[in-house]
Amino acid sequence: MMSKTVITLQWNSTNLIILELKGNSNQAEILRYTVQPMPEAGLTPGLLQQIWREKHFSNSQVIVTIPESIISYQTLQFPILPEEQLQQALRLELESELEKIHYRVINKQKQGETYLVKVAIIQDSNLQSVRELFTKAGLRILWLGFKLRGLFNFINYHHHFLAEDKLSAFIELNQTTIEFGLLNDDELLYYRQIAMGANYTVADIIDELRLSLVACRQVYQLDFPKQIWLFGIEDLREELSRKLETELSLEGYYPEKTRLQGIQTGNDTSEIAPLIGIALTALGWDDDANWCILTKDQQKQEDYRQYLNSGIKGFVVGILILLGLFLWIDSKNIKNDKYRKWIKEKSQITSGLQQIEAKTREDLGAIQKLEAFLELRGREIEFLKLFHDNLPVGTLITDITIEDGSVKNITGITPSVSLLLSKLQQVPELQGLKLKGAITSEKDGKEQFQLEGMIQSTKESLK
Amino acid sequence: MKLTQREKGLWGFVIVAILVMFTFNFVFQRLDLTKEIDRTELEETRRLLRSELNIKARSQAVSARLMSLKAKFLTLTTDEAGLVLLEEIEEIAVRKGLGVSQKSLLQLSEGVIAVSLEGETDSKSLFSFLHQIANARLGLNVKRLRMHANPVTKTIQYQLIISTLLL
Repeated sequence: MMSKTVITLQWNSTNLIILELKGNSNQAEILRYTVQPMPEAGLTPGLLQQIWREKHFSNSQVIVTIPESIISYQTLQFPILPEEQLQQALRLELESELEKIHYRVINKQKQGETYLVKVAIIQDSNLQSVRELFTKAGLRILWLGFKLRGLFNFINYHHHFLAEDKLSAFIELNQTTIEFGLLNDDELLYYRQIAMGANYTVADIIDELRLSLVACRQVYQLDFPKQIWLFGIEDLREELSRKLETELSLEGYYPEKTRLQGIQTGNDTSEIAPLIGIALTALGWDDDANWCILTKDQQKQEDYRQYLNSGIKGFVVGILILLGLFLWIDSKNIKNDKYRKWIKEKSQITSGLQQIEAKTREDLGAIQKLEAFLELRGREIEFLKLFHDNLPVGTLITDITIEDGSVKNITGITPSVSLLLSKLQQVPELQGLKLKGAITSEKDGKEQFQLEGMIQSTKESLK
Repeated sequence: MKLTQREKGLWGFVIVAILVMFTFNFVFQRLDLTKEIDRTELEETRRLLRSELNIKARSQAVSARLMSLKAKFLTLTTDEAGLVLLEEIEEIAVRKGLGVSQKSLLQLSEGVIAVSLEGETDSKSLFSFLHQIANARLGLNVKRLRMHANPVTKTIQYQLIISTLLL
């Protein structure tokens, strides 16, 4: 399977993190990463160019984590609806702004008879500004991703490696906010983001976590697992870990390595975890592509590119069909030529055979004619013999004329013509004879008669 | 790359033109129906070659049969054949004791010659003669037979036309 290189980038007011991963949907390795403090001037094209130059990232295509500062969260309440209808209701709710915003459902929590749907909303203009900033630095944003989804992917990729519990929980410490999350393989079951101000303490975190644990247990009937992943600001980690154990009997876990090959990330693992998660999405490890955000302009370009791709594919298919037709016709012509040549080669033999066949047909015609002639041999003698054998006693034949198988006349005297006729009728070969003219009675009481008719074929041959 | 409506139209036209050109050059020009092979001829050649031995064997059998049939007929000129026929019939008539008072040669139609016999004879000779005609070496047929019995003399006045084919 072909490997590809993915560069992901995340920044906030304190630092800028860039990670380069190489891999495919089966394996990946960390090629390089950098965690840079954010200068006072903030993120500028110049800074990006400088880092790219110094750190030797392999290409200028980058996947950017959407900065938390441009994401706004809304919690919307809906009745319990099937997923599809819920999505429609949500779309309807945000309809007036759909042209200008991007939204993603962070999580959906059932509370009593309603769903509380937490939605992240980003203005397209803000994304466009980010895109322009990167374009100025000579970088191209492939798409923008959610840090939260990156964490989700990271935890799920590592969780079963570390624990057997189906649930995972995390605490993300940001500069002015903290986030609690509870998730399984498929979804974020519970999520809470709390604005804490600039100087929050571990005690504040514990208080908020305590509230979340209670809410989770009472409202959603979910318990946090014993081990909690800790991400974000490094300063409070140790104290938070201690307090978690002493006050809530929970165990804080700072990831200090990853399952990926390549460079060891050590203490930075917690910082770059979301970027690893997003990079895994780009490598095809996350089935849900819904978390990849394109700006409206990018979307239009993408649509146009796909439209153009379809056109090109159609053109190529058309050419291939024509090529197929061409080859088919060519092969047909070659085959026809081959046949023609073969027919020509064999023409001498075939014309000889045709002549033989013609002569045979002619001979058969002659045979038929001769056999038909011979078939008629002896029919008269056979007829006369049969006729004589079937005459009643006392019958005398005086005249017989037979021509071409036709009895023109038989004249004779018999004691009874009716007896004669009835005797003749009993012989199939003589049934063709019919009385001709009147029957004349003689002085001696006998009757003079005349017969005519056709000689019926007799199959007996004369021997 | 964003194309204007006009550019799209032009591109569409170019693509269609290319397809038409390809179709014409590589399909229609080569699709020469006059070059189409005659399937009947092909099948006929195949049939002939496949049954070559049968055709020859059948031809030989038919020729042999025809030869044997031809042996029963005359292959001479009309005059020569007439003489042979007359001799044959005379020979049979003599052999069978048929009384002949008048005889003549006839040509009934193209390729058919005949001998006409008339006379008075006894019935035994006449029937014996007719029987012999039916089984003669030559293929002979009775074209016409006319008999009149004389009860007083116990003889038969007859008129016969016996024909054969000329090959």
